[in-house]
Amino acid sequence: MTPPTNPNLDLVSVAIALLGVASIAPEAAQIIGPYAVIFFGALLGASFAASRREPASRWAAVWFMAKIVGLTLVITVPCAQLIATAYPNAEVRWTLGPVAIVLAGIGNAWPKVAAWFLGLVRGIVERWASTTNPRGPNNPPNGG
Amino acid sequence: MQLSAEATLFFLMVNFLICSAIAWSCLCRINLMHGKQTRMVFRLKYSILLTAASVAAFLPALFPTLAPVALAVFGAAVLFQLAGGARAWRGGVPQYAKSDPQPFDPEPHAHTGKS
Repeated sequence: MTPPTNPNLDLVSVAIALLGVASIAPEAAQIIGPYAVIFFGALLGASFAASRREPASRWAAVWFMAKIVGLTLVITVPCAQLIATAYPNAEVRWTLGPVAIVLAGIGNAWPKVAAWFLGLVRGIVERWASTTNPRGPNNPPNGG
Repeated sequence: MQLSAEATLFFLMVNFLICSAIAWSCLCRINLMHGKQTRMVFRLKYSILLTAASVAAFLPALFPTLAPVALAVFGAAVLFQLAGGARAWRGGVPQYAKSDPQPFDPEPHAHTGKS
């Protein structure tokens, strides 16, 4: 008798297993499971983002959330794969849910995120420039 | 004993309508909130309740055998809702829940002249 293997406890594996219980074909469950996790994660993030914006009409809020959820459904998997490439220990299955929540939670604050990211890149470049040339461009060696 | 197929379908539909109404109610409240004027815990509470209501509406409707999962998710959201408001109940019934939200007056008849 072979010893039992450790079950995957990530949300995506659980969703796939539950869909298997619900008599969904395993091939379909492999696709529906992850996207169900992404969809409901995106819904949580989008509703949180909607609570941050200026009050508007109800249908405007529905449209806002639909846009955010749609965008998140498209970009979550590539982002999770990008994270898995940068950090090999972070499995895509584990990161899908949190990535969907965070991406949707950003809402309409993408310009602020872009500004923060550019500032981060600028800081890294400046730090790198100061370490490679500690005197700086205004202090040339030997008095110029 | 099991419910008949018609009864199961009926209750699934009732569940869908009730959970959709909860989700819509949450959306209406979320729509009135503003990031700078609403406490984070309230924004989080209603976001979680909206998501859980959506799960509880759609999951049993699409996959009836997963109804217990939806129930657990919805129960967790209700628990979070109660836990989020627990601080207000620590010192007794909070002001907003009282039927007569007047400040305590040690001499209630002093103003009317009655003894």
